[in-house]
Amino acid sequence: MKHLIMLVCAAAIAQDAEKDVPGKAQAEIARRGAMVERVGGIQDAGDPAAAISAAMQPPADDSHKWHFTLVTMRNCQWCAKLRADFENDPKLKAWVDTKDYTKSWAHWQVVQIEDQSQAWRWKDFKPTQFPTLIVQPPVNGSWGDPHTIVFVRQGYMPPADLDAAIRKAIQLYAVKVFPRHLAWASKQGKTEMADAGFRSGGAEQSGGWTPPVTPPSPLPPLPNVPPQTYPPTADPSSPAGLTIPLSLPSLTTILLLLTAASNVWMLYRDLARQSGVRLLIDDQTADRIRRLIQTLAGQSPGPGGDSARPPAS
Amino acid sequence: MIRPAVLAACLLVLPLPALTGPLSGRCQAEHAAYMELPAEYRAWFRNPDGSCVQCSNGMVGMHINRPEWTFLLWNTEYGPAERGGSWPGRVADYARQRGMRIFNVTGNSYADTRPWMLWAAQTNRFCAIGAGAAHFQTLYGYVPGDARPWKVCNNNSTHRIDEYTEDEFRRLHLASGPWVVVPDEPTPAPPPRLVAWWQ
Repeated sequence: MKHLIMLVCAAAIAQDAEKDVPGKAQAEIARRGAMVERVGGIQDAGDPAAAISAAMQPPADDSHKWHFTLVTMRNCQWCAKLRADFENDPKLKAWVDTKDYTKSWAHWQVVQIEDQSQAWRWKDFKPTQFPTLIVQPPVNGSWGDPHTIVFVRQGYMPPADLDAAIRKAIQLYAVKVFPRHLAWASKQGKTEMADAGFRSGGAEQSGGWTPPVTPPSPLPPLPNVPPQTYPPTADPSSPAGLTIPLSLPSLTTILLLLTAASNVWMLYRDLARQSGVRLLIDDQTADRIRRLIQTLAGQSPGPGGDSARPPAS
Repeated sequence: MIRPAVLAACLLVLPLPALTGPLSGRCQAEHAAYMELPAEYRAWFRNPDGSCVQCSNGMVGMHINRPEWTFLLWNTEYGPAERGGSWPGRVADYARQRGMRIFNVTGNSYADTRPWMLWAAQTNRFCAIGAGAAHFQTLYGYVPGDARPWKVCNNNSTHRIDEYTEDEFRRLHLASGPWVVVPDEPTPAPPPRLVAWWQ
């Protein structure tokens, strides 16, 4: 009996020793000494050169880079197309290197709108059409509050137009905040911290083996998207960069409005007929127009259309 | 004196790379930086069973938008649940299996790991750090000039953020051994906000 108790105790101690940062971890830290092991994901498995055994300085500070965030949704062909554009189009590649952040002018993130582990990001601004591209200033505060949306485009835009729109928005923004940029440059390191992010409360909920939410599926590899002709913008004279204040309703919205208007029109015709008012268009033609509008509304195209609907949660 | 219109015109013809500025050295510009995870999200990573290293890394993953990191504690398509105690070799193994890009940094002293923690905070990546005896926590914020500049989220009390002076933080870190796990991933943007800057 005594031996059994001792065995149970020993097992419990051994189990405790394997928790958190056990003694063997501290021994391993001591053995490793000053060492930086760069684990580059799946690609470096079995590659001895990937482990850099010499003491290493941290990489260069990249907090001065701007941020490009692409918000996508599942089964959205225009989202895949824009992702592919950023990988392949020379104009867009000049903004972001999607493969190597060290070579990229801006930081690049793709967020899936269905990913509930990222839902907290959308507390102030939640995209409603996809793909959505958001451009924000650097986190070091050199160009103002990094939360600020400098440019947002909801819906697909061809690379050349998007490139021009991004450039125009950043330039206009830079002009606007240039005095603040000069002030920042003259007194770095004295930024006051806001209290955001230090809220307390909330339920404690880890422990089980099932995650709190279903993780997003890994982004699928980009398909070979055949060249597609995107419908031209409704108003070519409007500056494409400032989609924040100047955005037009999507095609779907216009068609839905037309459908509603046609229903009201049919109602008016009924009332007019009952009151003996002469109608300008005969019933057959009117019905044909109404059906045409409904057919169009039922087949609205990808960007800003069916694929742009927010997900059912 | 330069007139605003002239200044604006000059800026418009500036090549865009100039907007990144000349201050792209190694953490020369110290600025306040902190994660913005609401408490109910931090609570996902409350230490259930002595998995403090994975809890700390998971919280970093949520911040940097990397599900391979975020869902470390659970069985998902990114890999099996990683539970229990961890050491640098184990972290390197599961990072490889899951496709997590990391700097697995160990040192002989605080001087070896401090620059990495500072880099991680200043670039808005943040990191999982040794903090407390046989324990790992998440570096949550760094505010230069603050009396307690180091902000840390303990996975045993995720509802609050603990603040430390430089000396307190050094002792806290060394109590577990100079080891930090830093993302080798692009920085996430802070939650976007519509501000009428064009007005």
